[in-house]
Amino acid sequence: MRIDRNRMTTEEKTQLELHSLYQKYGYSRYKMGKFEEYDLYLRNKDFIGTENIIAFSDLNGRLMALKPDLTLSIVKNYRYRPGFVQKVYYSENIYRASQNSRRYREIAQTGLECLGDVGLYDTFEVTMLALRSLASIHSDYVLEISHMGVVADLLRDVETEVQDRIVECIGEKNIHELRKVAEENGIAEETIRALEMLVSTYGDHKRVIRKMRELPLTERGREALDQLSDVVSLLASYKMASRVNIDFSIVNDLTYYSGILFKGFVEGVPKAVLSGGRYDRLMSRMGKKGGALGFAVYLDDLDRMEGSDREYDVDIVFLYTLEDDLGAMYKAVRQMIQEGSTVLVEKEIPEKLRYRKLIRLDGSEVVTVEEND
Amino acid sequence: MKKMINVALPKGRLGKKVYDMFEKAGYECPAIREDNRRLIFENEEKGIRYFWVKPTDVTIYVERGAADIGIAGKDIILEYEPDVFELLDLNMGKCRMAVAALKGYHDNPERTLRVASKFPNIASNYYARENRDIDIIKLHGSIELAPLVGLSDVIVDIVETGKTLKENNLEVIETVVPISARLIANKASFRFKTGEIEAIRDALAEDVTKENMKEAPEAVKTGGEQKGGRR
Repeated sequence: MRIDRNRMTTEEKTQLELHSLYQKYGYSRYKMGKFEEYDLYLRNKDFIGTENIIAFSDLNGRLMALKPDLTLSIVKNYRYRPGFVQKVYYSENIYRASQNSRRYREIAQTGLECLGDVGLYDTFEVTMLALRSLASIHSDYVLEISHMGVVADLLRDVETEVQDRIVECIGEKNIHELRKVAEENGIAEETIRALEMLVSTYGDHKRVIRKMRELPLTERGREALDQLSDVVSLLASYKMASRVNIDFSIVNDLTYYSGILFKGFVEGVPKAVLSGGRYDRLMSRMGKKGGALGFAVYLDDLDRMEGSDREYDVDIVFLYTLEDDLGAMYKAVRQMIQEGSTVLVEKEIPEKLRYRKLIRLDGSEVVTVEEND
Repeated sequence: MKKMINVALPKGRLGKKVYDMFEKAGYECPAIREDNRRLIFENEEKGIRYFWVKPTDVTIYVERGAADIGIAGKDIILEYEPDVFELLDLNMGKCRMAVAALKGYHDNPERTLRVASKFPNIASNYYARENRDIDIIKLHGSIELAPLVGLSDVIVDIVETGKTLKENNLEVIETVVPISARLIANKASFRFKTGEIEAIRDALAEDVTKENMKEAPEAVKTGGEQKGGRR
């Protein structure tokens, strides 16, 4: 049977489009269960950024959790093979507490991961797929890219606790607070200026990268910048960089993230719908060899986009009575469905239902009672 | 065409002062000064739409994208930790978040400290940094009453002049954090309306700098004492 895309919700449509996109580039589906040992999240609670996890004991008394994250499970089961990159995609529900309402939510997430000897091409491929994922959701989108290597290099001589506070300020584009925290902790004026420039320079990749070359970076920071520049130039040579912005306010925990970072936005959704990056440090913390990068697309907010509302709940309402000829009725219904309409057969019109057309049988003839077109 | 910018203004005196700043910066909307009960005001030509919301709700409107930008006190931002950009310190509505107790109160670290506050998140974070075990009591108003009737040992609350504290025989023991009004922006809106939001930020920043120049000598005279203006 053919599936009519117009009748799908944005979430369903996007999910299928993303699957097909990732399959085209050779990613294989990674199917997971809903449960995972609680201990995994306890050990990496900063990675998932939430302590509110639904936990329960299974029949052996082991403490289990409903998955609040999918990447950790993929990394846990990963085995390193030199020279190879494992490319997988997933599409599952995760369970997290929403920050404001203090309730658990089930969130649909689709994403991909590259694990192993990840090289420049893989980084480019993941970035390109992130762009194309956003394009499949909405024609007006922005992919913001950043690189933790640059931030880490500027903060190389700063203690971890202060680093965290400064990274937080960078993430808020909060220049006034950044200066205050930096001054309080005796960070050199040159570094403060560099950080301020990092926060206030964003947008077009060529301009931003040129500007960033002026920063007082060491070898490590320059390498990070080169990598960023290589990836974006490659995108640009295929005319895919017009919706790419470089913005160093995209930051994440330095203990897990080491390289390129992404955040994707589409018009009409108030928060990032795509998020990811390179997380080699998580790999080594979990005792795995090799690098890793990936991203996830959050599908739960997409149904709020404009244009995702349908005008009618159903095309045709078919009113019948018990005296009607059921055979003639089904014949007519089948005919209309084959012609592409949706048909609801009822004895009464359901309350608040929006329909295009109301019909009934008169003998064996179908007659139109009402038309709303 | 210019994109409309939605601005969530906090109801009350601070909001009016903030609107004055927007007006000076060239984003006027004269209808807002009329005395009526409307909640939304717009100036299509300038591409700006204002709405009045409860001060504690500004971060919610901005975080969820109903407003592109908004003005919120640092106290609200620290309490609710919204996922937004904090673009500018407006340097107005200045006061501080402080710990206060009955005059002559002596803290006994062997006991769990009972803390009453409208800001449980700020209070917990503060005492977590101090490594102090606390029992937090969330109240919605008249916080000063709590230590007087033995509900709590100390309170964590906003202090402007300290007059209410004084009248109730309370005193500030420690400052938690200085507070002032901040310009915040929705993270997605900022990406799609970058130019417009930057223009507003820069216009307001210019005004803030001018005001600071005016205030500076006075601050020296009063020994840097925080000025009132909130509530």
